[in-house]
Amino acid sequence: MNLAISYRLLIGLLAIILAVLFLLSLMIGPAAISFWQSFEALFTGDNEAATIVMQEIRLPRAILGVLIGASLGLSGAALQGYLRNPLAEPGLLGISSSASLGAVIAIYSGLSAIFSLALPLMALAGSVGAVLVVRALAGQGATTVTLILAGVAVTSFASAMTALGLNLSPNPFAALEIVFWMLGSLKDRSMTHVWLAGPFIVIGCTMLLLVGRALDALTLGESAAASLGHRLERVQALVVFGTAASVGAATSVAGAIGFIGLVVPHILRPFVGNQPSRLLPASALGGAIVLLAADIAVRLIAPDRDLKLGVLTALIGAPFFLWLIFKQRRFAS
Amino acid sequence: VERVKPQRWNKLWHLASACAVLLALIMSGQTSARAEAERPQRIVSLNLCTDQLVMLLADKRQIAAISHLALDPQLAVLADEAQRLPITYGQAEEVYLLKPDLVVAGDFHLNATVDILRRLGIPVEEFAGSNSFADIRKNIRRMGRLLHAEQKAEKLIAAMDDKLARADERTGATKRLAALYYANSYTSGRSTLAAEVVERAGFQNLGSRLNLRGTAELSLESLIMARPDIVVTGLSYRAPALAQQVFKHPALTYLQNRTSAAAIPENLWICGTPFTADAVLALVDARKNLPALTASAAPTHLPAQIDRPSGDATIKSDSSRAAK
Repeated sequence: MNLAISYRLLIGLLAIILAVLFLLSLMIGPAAISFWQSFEALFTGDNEAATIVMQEIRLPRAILGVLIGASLGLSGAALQGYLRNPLAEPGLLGISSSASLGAVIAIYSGLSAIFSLALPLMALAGSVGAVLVVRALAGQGATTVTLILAGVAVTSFASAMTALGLNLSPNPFAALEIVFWMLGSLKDRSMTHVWLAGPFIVIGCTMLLLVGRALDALTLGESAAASLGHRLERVQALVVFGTAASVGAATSVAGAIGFIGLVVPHILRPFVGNQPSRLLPASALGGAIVLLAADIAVRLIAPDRDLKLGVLTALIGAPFFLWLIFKQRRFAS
Repeated sequence: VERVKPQRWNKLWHLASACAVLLALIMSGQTSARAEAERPQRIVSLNLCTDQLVMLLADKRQIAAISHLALDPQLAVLADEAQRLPITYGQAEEVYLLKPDLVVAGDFHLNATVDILRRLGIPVEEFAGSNSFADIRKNIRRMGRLLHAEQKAEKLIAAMDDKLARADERTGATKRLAALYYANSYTSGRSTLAAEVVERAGFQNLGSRLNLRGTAELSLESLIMARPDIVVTGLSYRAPALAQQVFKHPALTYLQNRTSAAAIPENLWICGTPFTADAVLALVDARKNLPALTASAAPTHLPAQIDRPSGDATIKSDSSRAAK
């Protein structure tokens, strides 16, 4: 399927939708601040309380929504291209849950209180570990099934360790936070979190955007890509560390949010003519759009309940995942 | 006709008085012994709040066990004393093996345990949580009766009322707005003990004003927009958790710097005990340190530095923090 649409037009459209959602995200919250009032408050300090709400609560939330969504969409597209596997995705491969485990160790051991960078770094270590373990478990040129099984194994192990760690914490609140680490939320995040995760996400996304051409070549097979002058170890390093840095940092401040990396590249692929180098930027924008939309939805559906983001993304993502499996089976037979 | 009736009455009267005399004879020899025997000697408490009342009203040797929660200084004022007492995790089996002659429990959980114990013939008394000082008095009196320590109970109540009276003298006429803010962005709304404490100290409770009931979530946004005169938080656990991260949120820090902040140990009002009056006194102190009511000054820049919440009970006033 190839939907004829100019690439520039596509990117432009996505950017416009993203901008609209970003503004919408700033407008939504429990505090009743009118449309114009909130804009005024964002840039000037006349209405003090409203300014604080806009600059310190809603703005970081919207920024994190864009950054985290982009890193999930982008890493999904990069992993699918690199592993040449339509079901590859940070959530399904256990990268998100391993990053959660790293973040949980950093926070609840008190490490991140002493050294705040420990939080993204531990999450990064967790996600690098997950990529390597899944690669090792599934082996070179893995089939979809082995890859997904390896992901399931890593995910369940990391989730179990997360739950164990939180249950053993002497703080009674910790056990309740298992839900956050497994389903993700952007509630009451602050600029501190933006500064903590932002740089890692930007670096990771840049690394992933660099592999576009190599992924194009890889669609012809590894030997063809190598003969075209792409160094496969370099591509692998960029994909692994790019995914680990962006998804790791994203997860360390918002928990594990599933399915965005799976759904977004699949929806956008027909629009870019199945070309990985074009899919990557589009998926980054698409991921940001989906996450912002989900974050707006959780605030509208249950304003005072802190509904987790992963609930919404799974509601859309899980049926989509089933449809993909169904399509694959039909394709195989 | 009229002569028969008195005779009958007479007979009945004789019979009744004979019975009464007999009963009195039996009783007189036993009353003192029975009072002593009825006084529970092996009390088990299954609830944090009853734990503390039992510890206040019973002798140590009367207590067979208290709940494990009483060991947590974050939750229980008498945690130090609790270290020397046997504890229970509220399982029917372990409670039964303690052979209690009185079990006191809360009325909202451990219902299965309580049912089993009752079926096994152990007297169980359930206590409702206190949502007001009137409830506290009621619960202390009831516990006093159960433990045959009525005088001790009255003394505790008198001491508590004394503190409350002292607090009442010192609260000003103008109501200031106080926002209670706990871990995970929770607050106390109407008909809660914390709300009554806040109101008793001369404040209006934000949760009540927002029509919240019980312990409910209060979004950080709503808290900032309400511009309370003081933000009252609890004390954080030493072990970190995301629930406590909200205390480090720059927006909250900003609010606390602009207005006032007080940290009241939660153990004072998690349970209704005589100690709850101390929370009122602490808040009255905090209220006295509030700056006078004026229109808010020109907006200041946002604080870049975020303080870690301190581990000990502190009442921070505006004047000391503004200098930072």
